[in-house]
Amino acid sequence: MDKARRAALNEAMRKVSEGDRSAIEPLARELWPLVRAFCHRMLSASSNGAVQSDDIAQEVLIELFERSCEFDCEGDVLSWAFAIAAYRCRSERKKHKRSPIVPLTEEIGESDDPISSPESFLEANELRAEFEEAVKQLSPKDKEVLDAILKGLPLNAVLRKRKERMVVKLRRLFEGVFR
Amino acid sequence: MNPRDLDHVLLRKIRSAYERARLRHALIKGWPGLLFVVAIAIEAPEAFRLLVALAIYATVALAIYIGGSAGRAAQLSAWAAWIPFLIVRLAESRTHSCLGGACVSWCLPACVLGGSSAGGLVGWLGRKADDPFAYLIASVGILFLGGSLGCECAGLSGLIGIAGGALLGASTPFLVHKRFEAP
Repeated sequence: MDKARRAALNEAMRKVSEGDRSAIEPLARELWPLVRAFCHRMLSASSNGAVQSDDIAQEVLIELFERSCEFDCEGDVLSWAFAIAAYRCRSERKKHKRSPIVPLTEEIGESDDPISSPESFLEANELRAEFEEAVKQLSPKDKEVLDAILKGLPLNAVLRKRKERMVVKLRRLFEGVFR
Repeated sequence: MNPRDLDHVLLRKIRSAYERARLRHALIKGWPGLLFVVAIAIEAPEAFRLLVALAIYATVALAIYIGGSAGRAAQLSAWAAWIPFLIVRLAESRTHSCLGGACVSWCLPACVLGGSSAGGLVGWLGRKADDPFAYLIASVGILFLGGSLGCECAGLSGLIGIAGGALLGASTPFLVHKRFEAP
C-alpha cells in the first residue's frame, strides 16, 4: 500500500477517534477488504476457513471502531487492525485445534450405502463390533475423554493428555484385533 | 453482493459499537465535572445546587461524546470552571468593602472577573479550533454552570455577569486569531 493511501487511512481514523461520524463509513469500506484478506490468509488452512475468516474479519472491524477512542494519532491504523486480526485468528486456530469441526459426511462407522454388498456390510459390522469391544476395555476416564471428543467439546490440558494416552491404548487394542 | 464489499448490517453493527464505546468513554472522561458535585456535597448539599453540579458533569460528558471542538472545549472548561467557582468564594469571604460611607459588594465584580479570566484562558488555548462555534458553546456553557454555583450571591446580575464575562473572555482570542494570526 502506498504512503499516501496509508496516511489517508490514519487521518480518517484520527477523525473517527475525535468524533467525526461521517468518516466511519468511508474508513470501514477501505479497511474491510484488507482485513478480510488478512484473516482469509491466516485461516485458509482450517477446514471451515472461508466462513471463519469472514466472521473474524467482521469482529475485528467492530472491535477496531469500538476502540477508536484509544487510537494514537502517531500510530498506524492498518498495523493496529492487523494486530487485532492476528490475535483473533490465532485464538480461533487454537480453538479449532482443541475441538475440530468434522463435516457431517465423515461420521465414523456409517457409510452412504451400508449394503453395497453383503461382504462390505459384514466387514463394517465386524469392525463396529471390534471397536465397541475395544472401547469396553478402556478405563472410565478414557471413556469420558472419548465421549468429549465425539461430542466435539473443548478439551482442557488434562483431558488432552488423557486423549493422547487413550489413542495409544486404542491403537494397541486394534492391533490386537487385526493380528 | 460481492463479499469483498462492506454490507449495511455490518456497518450498522460498527456504528452501534462505536456509539456505545464513545458514550462509555465520555462518561469516564467527564469525571472532572463530578468534582463539582463532590464540592457542593461537602460545602452545602442543597438539591438545586447539586442539580447544577450534576448538570456540569452531564454537559462535560455530552460535549466529549459529541467530540471534535466541543469535546476539546469540555475537558479544558471543566478545569477552568474552578476559576470563577473559587474567585467568587474568595470574594464572598469579603462580603463588602466600605470606604467612607460607601460600601461595595465584591460578588458581582468577582463573577465578571472569574468568567472572563476562565473564558480568556479556554479561548486562548482553543483559538485555532476547527469549529469555533461549537467550542464557544461548550466552553461558555460549562464556565457559566461552574460560576453560577456562587454567583447567585449577586442574584440575576451575578448570573449575567458570569455569562457575559465567560463569553467575552472566550470569544476575544478567536477574534484576535482571525484578525491577526489566521492566514
